[in-house]
Amino acid sequence: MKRKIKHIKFTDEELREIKKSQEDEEWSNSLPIKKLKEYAGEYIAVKNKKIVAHSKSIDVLYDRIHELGINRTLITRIEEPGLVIY
Amino acid sequence: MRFTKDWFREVTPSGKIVYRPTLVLHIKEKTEIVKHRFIVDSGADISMMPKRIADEMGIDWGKGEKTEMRGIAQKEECNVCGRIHEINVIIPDIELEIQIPVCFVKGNSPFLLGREGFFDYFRVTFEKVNMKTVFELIED
Repeated sequence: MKRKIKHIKFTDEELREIKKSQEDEEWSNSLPIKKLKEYAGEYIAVKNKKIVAHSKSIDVLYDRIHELGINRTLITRIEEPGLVIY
Repeated sequence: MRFTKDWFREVTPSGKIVYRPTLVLHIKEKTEIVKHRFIVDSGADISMMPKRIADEMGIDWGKGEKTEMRGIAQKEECNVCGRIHEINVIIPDIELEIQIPVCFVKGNSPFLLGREGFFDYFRVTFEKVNMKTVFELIED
């Protein structure tokens, strides 16, 4: 496969945004089990350490994010409880 | 160039914790950049995302190469029809943008990072003992 790589020089604002995003990533990595069960089988959208939208349907999730006017969210699919083999 | 990611914590029906290797990639959509968490799946031939993301990126889904995805279910009716497109994804951890093929499928699919493309760029080591994944860029 022909590889296409581009090195990016982020602006200060973008770097601040990336730092926030990594904080959201860490935050969602430590969601309590109760929350994981609550959102099982759903996609969740996280922004500033809050779940701002969730749905079993990716279409509904995107529609909600657009309605709320929230950008740069982190979208994660919380699997149904169980062992996963794709 | 290398970076490490903690595995993502989830839960089984019995309440046991299970950790899965994931990576968050940034993807430029029509109006903004969205971050998606992918399961790093060395057993998947190709990466996969729901078709809705292609729509949000302004990709004409129907123009992609048609493909049938087969999984653990052997029944033909369980096969999923998808379209493959080359897309750019950003890996913020190492300030890099790469192009990979992704199969966009209708419905609510998982986000998977498969071998074709992504594993051509990175040497991926799964450290189950530490519940971490090490990504090392393969230099030309």
